[in-house]
Amino acid sequence: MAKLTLNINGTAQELDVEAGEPLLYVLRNGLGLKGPKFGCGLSECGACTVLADGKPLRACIVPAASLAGRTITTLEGLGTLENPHPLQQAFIDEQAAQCAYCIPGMIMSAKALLDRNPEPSDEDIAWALAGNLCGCGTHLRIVRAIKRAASTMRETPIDSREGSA
Amino acid sequence: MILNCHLVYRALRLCCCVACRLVGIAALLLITKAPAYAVESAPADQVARGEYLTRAANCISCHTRDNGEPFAGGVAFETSFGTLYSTNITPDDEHGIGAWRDEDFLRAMHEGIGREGEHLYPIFPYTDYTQMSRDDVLAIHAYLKTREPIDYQPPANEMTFPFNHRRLLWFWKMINFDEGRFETAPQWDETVARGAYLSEALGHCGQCHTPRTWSQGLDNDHKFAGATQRGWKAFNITSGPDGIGNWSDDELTQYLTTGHVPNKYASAGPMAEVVTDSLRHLRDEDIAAMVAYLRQIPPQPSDVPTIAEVRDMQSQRRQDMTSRAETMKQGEQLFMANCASCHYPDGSGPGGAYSNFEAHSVVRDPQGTNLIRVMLEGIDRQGRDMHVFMPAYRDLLSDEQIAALANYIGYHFGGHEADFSAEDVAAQRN
Amino acid sequence: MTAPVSRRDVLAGALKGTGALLVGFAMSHPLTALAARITDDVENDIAGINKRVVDGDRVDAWLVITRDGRMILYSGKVELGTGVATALRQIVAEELAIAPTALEFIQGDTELTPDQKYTAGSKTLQVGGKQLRRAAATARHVLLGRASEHLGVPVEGLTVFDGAVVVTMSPSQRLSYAELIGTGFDTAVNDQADTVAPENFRVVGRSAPRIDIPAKVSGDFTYVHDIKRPGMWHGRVVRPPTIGATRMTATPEHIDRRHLAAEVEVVVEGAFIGVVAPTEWGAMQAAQSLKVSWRYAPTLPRMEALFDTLEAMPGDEEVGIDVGDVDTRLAAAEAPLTATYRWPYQIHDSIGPSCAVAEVNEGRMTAWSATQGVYPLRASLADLLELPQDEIHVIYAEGAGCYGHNGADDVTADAALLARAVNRPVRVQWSRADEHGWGPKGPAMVMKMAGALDASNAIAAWTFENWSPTHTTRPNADDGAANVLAGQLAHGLTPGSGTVGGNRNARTLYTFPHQRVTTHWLSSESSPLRPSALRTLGAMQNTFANECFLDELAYAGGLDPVDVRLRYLNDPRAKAVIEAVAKRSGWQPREQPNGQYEASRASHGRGIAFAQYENECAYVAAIAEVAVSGQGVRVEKVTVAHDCGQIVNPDGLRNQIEGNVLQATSRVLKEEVGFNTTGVTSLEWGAYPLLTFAEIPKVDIVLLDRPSEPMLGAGEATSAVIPAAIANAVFDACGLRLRRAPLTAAELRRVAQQS
Ligand code: FES
Ligand code: FES
Repeated sequence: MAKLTLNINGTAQELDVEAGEPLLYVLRNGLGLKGPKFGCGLSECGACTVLADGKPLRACIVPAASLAGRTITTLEGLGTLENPHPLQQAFIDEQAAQCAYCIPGMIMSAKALLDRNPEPSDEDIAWALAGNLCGCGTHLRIVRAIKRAASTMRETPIDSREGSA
Repeated sequence: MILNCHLVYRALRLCCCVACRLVGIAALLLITKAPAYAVESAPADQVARGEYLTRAANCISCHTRDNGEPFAGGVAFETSFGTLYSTNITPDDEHGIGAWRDEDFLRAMHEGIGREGEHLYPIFPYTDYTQMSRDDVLAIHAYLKTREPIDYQPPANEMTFPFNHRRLLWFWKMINFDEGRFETAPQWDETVARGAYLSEALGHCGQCHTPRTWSQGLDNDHKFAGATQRGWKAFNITSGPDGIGNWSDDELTQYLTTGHVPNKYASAGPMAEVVTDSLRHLRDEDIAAMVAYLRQIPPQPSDVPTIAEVRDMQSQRRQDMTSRAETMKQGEQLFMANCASCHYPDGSGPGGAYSNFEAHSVVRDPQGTNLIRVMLEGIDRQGRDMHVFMPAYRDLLSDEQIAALANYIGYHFGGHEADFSAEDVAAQRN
Repeated sequence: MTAPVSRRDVLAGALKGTGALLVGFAMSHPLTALAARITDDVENDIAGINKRVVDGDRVDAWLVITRDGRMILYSGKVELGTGVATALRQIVAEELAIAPTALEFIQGDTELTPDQKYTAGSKTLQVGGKQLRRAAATARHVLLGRASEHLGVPVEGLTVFDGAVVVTMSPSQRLSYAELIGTGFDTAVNDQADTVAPENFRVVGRSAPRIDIPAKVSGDFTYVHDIKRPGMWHGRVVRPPTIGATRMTATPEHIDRRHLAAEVEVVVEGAFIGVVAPTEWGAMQAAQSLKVSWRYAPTLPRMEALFDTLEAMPGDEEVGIDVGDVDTRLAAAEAPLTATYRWPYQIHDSIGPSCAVAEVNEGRMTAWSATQGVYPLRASLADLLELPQDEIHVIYAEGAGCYGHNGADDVTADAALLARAVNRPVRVQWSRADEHGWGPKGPAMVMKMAGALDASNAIAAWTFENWSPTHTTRPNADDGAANVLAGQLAHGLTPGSGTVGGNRNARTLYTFPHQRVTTHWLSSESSPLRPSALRTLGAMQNTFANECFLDELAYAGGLDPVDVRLRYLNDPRAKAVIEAVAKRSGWQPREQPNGQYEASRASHGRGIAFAQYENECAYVAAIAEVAVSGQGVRVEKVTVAHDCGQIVNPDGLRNQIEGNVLQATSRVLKEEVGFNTTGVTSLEWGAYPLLTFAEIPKVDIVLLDRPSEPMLGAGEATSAVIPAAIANAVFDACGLRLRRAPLTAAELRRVAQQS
């Protein structure tokens, strides 16, 4: 066990971390975050995706200790139930979920995409989400939700909205 | 043909047969001396030695198909002349080698002639195994006979005309095959000789690492200079800077036994198989002997730039990449989503098995053969220290996506500006 | 008067007990939703859950209204990601004239909800919805009756509206349900109670947003994976080196604990070996560090011999239909056709591997599980733990989509064994390899077809023969511990054999005058990999064979595939979906394939398939459009016409159909479990790939709503027809018949080479 300070969703958190322990278990068990999910532990499915300095990262495989000093954002860091991020709202509006287990990872990958490319085509989305699997077959709605979010975010840039992370 | 190692061997073989036999025996003794094989009864001793030699000769890799039983054969080898399937070498009477007598087995290993008197395709490396001592061959046979018989019939070979005529192999053999046991060279000490025996007679390293002649024989003028086999590139492992010249002995040892050197080199494909199935099981002194042998292989140039060259290229890179901005953008996206969590956004990797990209010949090789190949096939390697896994992206990413990744990785970490297309990937995929 | 239950509270599933007196039960504990229960103090919670009446014949079992106006719906059918938690609320809300969001939803709990067996087979609305509708309608009649008494107005003069009974002609005169509830609905469900007439529907038949989605996309929702109990440790199971099919042949010979951290506990029962550690990462490390040497023998057939092995097994023959004179007709036919279709083992595509939490308090076991049947699982656990059933409390908590019997029950048994052994709450999270390697598999099947046309191109004979184990080895009381992996490992039990699912849709709706349909039932013990329910059970495999073979006959006789189907159907609803899908997709009649196989150039084609799921549920027809080249099959578009009777939530239904199309496309194009003689070798997504974003087809859906027809399940019906539609489209595109799933590029090239 070693102490480690990580910046998670805007707050510096001091955490106990076991040697080699991947970030995912620190987030889920240490901080009680439910957004990042365990799916494969092999970097194949994307369920555990979080952002590290704005870039998508598979938390299931990266040792937490190697992330000291980086800014980590999880699903919880985007928006809340009362004040969802446009991406979260778009997933609700498009009813883009079946079991929804894959959705947090999808949203995080989409966030990284929209940050780089505010107007993605279907194809851009397919590329950005190439590392995210969905077993329920919700893909069509996920693509629609991301496009919807892109257009709301273009209309109402995120900085001008209140209280968003 | 100024300095043909092969010819040298041949010349030497004529005059040193006594000495070489001694070395052969010495190697054998060293092998049998191992405490792990200090088995009481003589026959069991032979079996245990056979097991070790079977490991060293890596019979299992080629004779075990995915999901198949060990040694039951059926692995497909795509050659330019058609598809060959490895045979069942379990002691099954009908499909395997259950009915083979020692003499049959010896003839196959030493002469490349099957039980029916047919010439064997040299994909079975009898061109190397011929150098094995008689006792070693018999030990391998003894070991194989203790395995469980598997009643599996590998598919028939699908060779195109005229290569389906085994008789033509006689011609091939005339050019490319010298039957005869291992002989040492005067300049070799005992360790090097033993390394040579392990690397040549057993390990048959040259089958992958030595380029081929027009007739698909080994071009021993360029021994170990690197070649492409089964869709994978086997890199230059000669003693010069383009080969293993810059590797320390420790690094080489670590690579051979674990399949990787943290933050430097990592094996995949057939080499990972060799580590998993063969090298990690060998004893330290045998690995050291192989390293010693590699150290004295004459240097050969390579078409893969060195790390220093790559850094140099990167620092003075000028070419305008705007025409490929789109692919690069997609490549980066894919890299972030699929690769960066293990290899890190800057390719440096968290260490361990996830090595620094720049150090990989795979990444620096402008032909990108192994880069694309490793994305398609992934890595599933067991070294002495740990199991290393990279998913096969064959069915997780499309051809376009793999090409974009290869371009991105090649450009950012390998220093080259190769422009792979979906078709290139498709060609490797099939 | 009405306690404010905000939408947010419902969404978050975070209803805290308010101390409100629940009326209708002899109990006074605060009724809590799952999330609340698990955060409450254990003692209170366990003590507070007095036994409810969960007898499904009583209205109280289904519906509770409190005096402070909370309305709680109890469902033994559970939300598996298909949206039923919303649709079931819609059905009840319709009868009670309230908003669906006003209903709290308690699902799957052996102490709170009625026993509705499994949530499976697309029966939640068809069966469970019907039960709830009757209970809610009975409740409405009770409330109306009470109001009539209180207000002195005959029932005919009263209406229900927004949680109250209102005097129709004088709306200010009203009594809320809370005021009327008294001591609850102490009455039997009246099967004859009038339900709201379809023409008066205000909630049912309209798209309602799913109530669970907001919390699921914000990270507030608690899946079974997220459950934490005070003092909880983490467990992992160390699996033997061989899966031994359904017979466990491995025995641990030596267990070396030397590399374990000091606090790790090791639990050994037979071949069941588990480690338990204070942290999850610690448990993962421990599972790796524990070295076990096993004695075992490989028992599986070689993978390439699978189908021959299946066909060669002795099986009990069951004749589904045998009419006319098949053999004579076949013998007399000039050019009879025969074909063999093959379907591989497939896994459940759950993105989150199975997980469960279990704990023992004073000898009573409580387990949180994503099981599809809390009651049947309780029975299996009782046998495994040798406890009476009422000493076990199974609570459903949502997992990732399961699509059938995945590892959810098994992991619960793992957790229960470990929790009991270490006497503390234990959470077990299966690894990806556990789920791929050890979860039950959708069975591999062989389907043999023969048929012939007569001189007038009528179908003169049709035979279908298949080989299948049962598609259900779910937990149940009869098989007990044998139907959970822990029971198989710990006690060497063999899962029970039945005859479920293998014959599903073996018989078609087609009126061929001479036809025979036979199923050879293989024992589940002899099935190479452990078989159980995977979406559609055998209907996908059988429909793949039936609908492709009908296509083969059609092309052989130069008949249009759409026409030939219509010709042999009597049921107007069956015809209607076929006509609708043909029209919507712009089907052009054809007598021969549209294109030819060329490795280097894509050729295009379309194919149709139809089935009535289970021959009595939803009618579905699909047309697939594909592009075929040496690179493989690409599905470009799928059009579906779907009739599941009365539609409850159209958007929810579309969501399901889209999901079915994509998942079935993935299954038919890509999915196959690899194995060798010791066990499963495809242990992660690289070796068992799923459809990716780059490969998804467009989906176009025509819903045929029939509000006055009964609701028919829609959770999986569409899956059954997709593989055949795609394979038929491949034939149309390139003239090659791919009869062996998955239709990979390698399979395509193999067939191309042979033809
Ligand atoms: S859980 Fe991290 S990628 Fe699957
Ligand atoms: S919605 Fe269930 S896995 Fe994607």
